[in-house]
Amino acid sequence: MQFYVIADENTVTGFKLVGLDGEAVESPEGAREALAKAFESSEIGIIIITGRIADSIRDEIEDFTFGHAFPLIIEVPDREGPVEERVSIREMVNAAVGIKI
Amino acid sequence: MARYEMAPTKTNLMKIKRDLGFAREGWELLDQKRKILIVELMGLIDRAVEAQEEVVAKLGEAFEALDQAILRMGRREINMIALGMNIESDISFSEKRVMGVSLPRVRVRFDDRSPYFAAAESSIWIDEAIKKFREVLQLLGTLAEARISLMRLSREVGKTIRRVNALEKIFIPDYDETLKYIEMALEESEREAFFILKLVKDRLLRRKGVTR
Repeated sequence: MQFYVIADENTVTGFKLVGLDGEAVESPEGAREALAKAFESSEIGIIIITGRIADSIRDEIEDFTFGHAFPLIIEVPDREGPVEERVSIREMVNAAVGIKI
Repeated sequence: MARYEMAPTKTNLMKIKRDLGFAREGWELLDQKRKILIVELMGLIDRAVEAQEEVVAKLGEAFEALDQAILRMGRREINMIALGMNIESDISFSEKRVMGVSLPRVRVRFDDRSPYFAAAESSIWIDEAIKKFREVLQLLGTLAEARISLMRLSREVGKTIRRVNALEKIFIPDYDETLKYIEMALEESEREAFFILKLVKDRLLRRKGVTR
């Protein structure tokens, strides 16, 4: 199975250097379309998406991560670095569990 | 605590005892499940945090190199080189199941072939960028595995905790209360019946005494 990149132009270019396919998107609508297209393909195993774009379509991403086994979606920081003060992994777990660990 | 509306009969008593036993068994199982899941979760959190930090750091370096390459060679040139790259990466998945939750295992494998561009045309920065992005990719496999597992697992832990609590704090106490009430009511009516029997016996004896 393959990786697929949905990100800004810079990031897509970077991952293209290591042979990954990807689509550069600029708007939430574009991201949604690209995501839908990526879901259709049975060859794609992991979707790499930048934090900023993921934030703009957060609901879709959440729904998908909990509802489906494949493909996996991972968020990476883009050129400008990680999105400021996004919920940390620990906080995410706390919220999902409902108690503090 | 609330008591269920139930007629205090032997049948209901038996039914409640059976249900209560079942609930206790279920509680024990769920409690065990919760403990196992939490242990798994703790280990996973550390792994995910670690992988996350590594990816952020490595990706920063990768972008740095890419920027330099773009600066020196221009975006168009880089895109050409990207087209000429001949690295294939393959991801393979397997699955690990922990207490009914399916957790992915990810393996990333690279298939390196010589690139379609001449070394003379490119700069050292592009090589650096390629190298860094490859490292990032390898890490991303681990990160994907950890993060997805974490999300699924934490949701399952939450569900289990709610169930354990519902049983422990509501279902079992309520049933206990009902059980006690029925037992008491039954005992009471038993005593009453016993008393009436004694009374009847007493009267019968007395009547016999009178006729004798």
